[in-house]
Amino acid sequence: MRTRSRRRLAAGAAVYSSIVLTTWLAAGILLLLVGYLVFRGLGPLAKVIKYGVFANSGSALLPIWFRTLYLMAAAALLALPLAMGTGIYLSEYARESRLNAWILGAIDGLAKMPPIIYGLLGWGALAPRLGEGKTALIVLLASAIWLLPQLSTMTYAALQDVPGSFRRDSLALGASRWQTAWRVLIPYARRTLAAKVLEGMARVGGEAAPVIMIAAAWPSSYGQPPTTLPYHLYSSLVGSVGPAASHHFGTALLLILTSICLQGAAVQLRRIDNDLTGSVRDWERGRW
Amino acid sequence: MVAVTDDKLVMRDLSVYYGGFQALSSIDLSIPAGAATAVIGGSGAGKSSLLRSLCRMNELWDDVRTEGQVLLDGQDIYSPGVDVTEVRRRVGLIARHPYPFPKSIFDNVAYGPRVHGIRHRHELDEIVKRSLKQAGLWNEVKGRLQDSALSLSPGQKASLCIARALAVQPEVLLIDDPAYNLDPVSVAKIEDVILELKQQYTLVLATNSMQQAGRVSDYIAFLSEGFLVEFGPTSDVFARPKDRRTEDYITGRFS
Repeated sequence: MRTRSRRRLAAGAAVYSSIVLTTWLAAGILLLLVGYLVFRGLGPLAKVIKYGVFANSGSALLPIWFRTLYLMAAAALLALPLAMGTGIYLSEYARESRLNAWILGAIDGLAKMPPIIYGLLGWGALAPRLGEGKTALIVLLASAIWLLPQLSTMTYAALQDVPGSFRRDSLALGASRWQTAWRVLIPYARRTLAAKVLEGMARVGGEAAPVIMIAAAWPSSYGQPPTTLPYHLYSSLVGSVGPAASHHFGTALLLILTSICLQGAAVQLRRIDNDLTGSVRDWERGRW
Repeated sequence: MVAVTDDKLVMRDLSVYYGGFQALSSIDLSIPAGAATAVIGGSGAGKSSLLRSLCRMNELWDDVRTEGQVLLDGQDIYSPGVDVTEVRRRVGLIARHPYPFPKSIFDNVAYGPRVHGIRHRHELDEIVKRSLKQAGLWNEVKGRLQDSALSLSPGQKASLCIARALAVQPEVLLIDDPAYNLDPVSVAKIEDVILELKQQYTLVLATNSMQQAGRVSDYIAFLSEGFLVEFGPTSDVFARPKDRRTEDYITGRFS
């Protein structure tokens, strides 16, 4: 009896140790990667920030970074109103039905599509209509369309996550569904929504596929698509720019720092929201 | 004895279904104006469904079906063309376990008037002050109206939700289980407020507490398994219940 119990304890300890070890291993690999990038890229990045260009290639990184930030923000601003409208409709107006479940599933499917498909959309559907000299606009629209289903499902999920008592109490006061969504649900979910928008922006900023797709199939006479950080990294590695390796590491470090900042802000926002939601849920469950 | 002038709400053959489940069965009941009516009955008797059907809040569920009529001052609130938001403004519901919105104390109380179009700060100030006084909370919060409502104690939160409902000046106030999850001191305070409110409003409250029903109500409606078993003045129902099931329930004899 005692032996069996000791064996069980030993097995439990072994499982626990292996889980802890795996976690540390994963964190270690990630830290190693970031550390390596910092080690190789910090020097060149510091210099480019100081002098404006990479010393060995003459490439200016900061304008590319600003262009990336602009693309991220503009795509989010373009997609957000429509995405919020879709999310509010699906969450607050649409009745439970097979059709609406199908619509939600379809939007979710669109949100999970590989971004290169949206590049294809930009090349195939937008480029012929918008024509010459509109490469930046095409990339922006393709990115906004890519973000649209993601932000729609995020808005829907954020509204569904608002404690039901707020919706109920607002409607009981004679507020319409729209007033309830606009004045109570969205203000309550604003931090979650903002966090999701930041995550979406990080995804747009870090994605080279739509730009590559448009650049690859674009007649050179129409001009090059706007150079964003990931596209710059890609083209400098495979294309004709050919700077030294330090250039790549500096670019990659700036890209990863931008992404970490956005994701970090998103995590902080969501943490505040979770604290608030938790306290309301405790009250709803009678655990106050 | 309460001076009853008229019936404010009249239910005629009211039935409520959630999918295939019938929560209320052919209820015929008249709620007297200017009095407090307590709806009593065990869990699942249909008390909350009854209250929600009086202000069309049952419609928040997709699979709900309501049959029959609910007349508010003689007009059927379920007839086509009736503005549901206006019905809910006239018949306020304080649901079981209400929770303040994550806004300031002031903005919580001003929420209802604002959604109904009141914008002037002076008018809102007056409404907030009056509503908080009616809910017995003014003296406790008057110096910190801009503080978060979430910082209040559970009893104060319950009072704030009453003030929030009063701010839209309803004609009828429905209160679902006002004692739910509150300490005895807070319950006593809420009951004092209810006693004050019934001077000005038609009140309908669902409660599981016989003592509470006895203390605050003028009339009692006893529900059992979705059926209205008995309705009458509180003193009569407690002293001489007409139905055996009512007697068993109020004396605590459950078969």
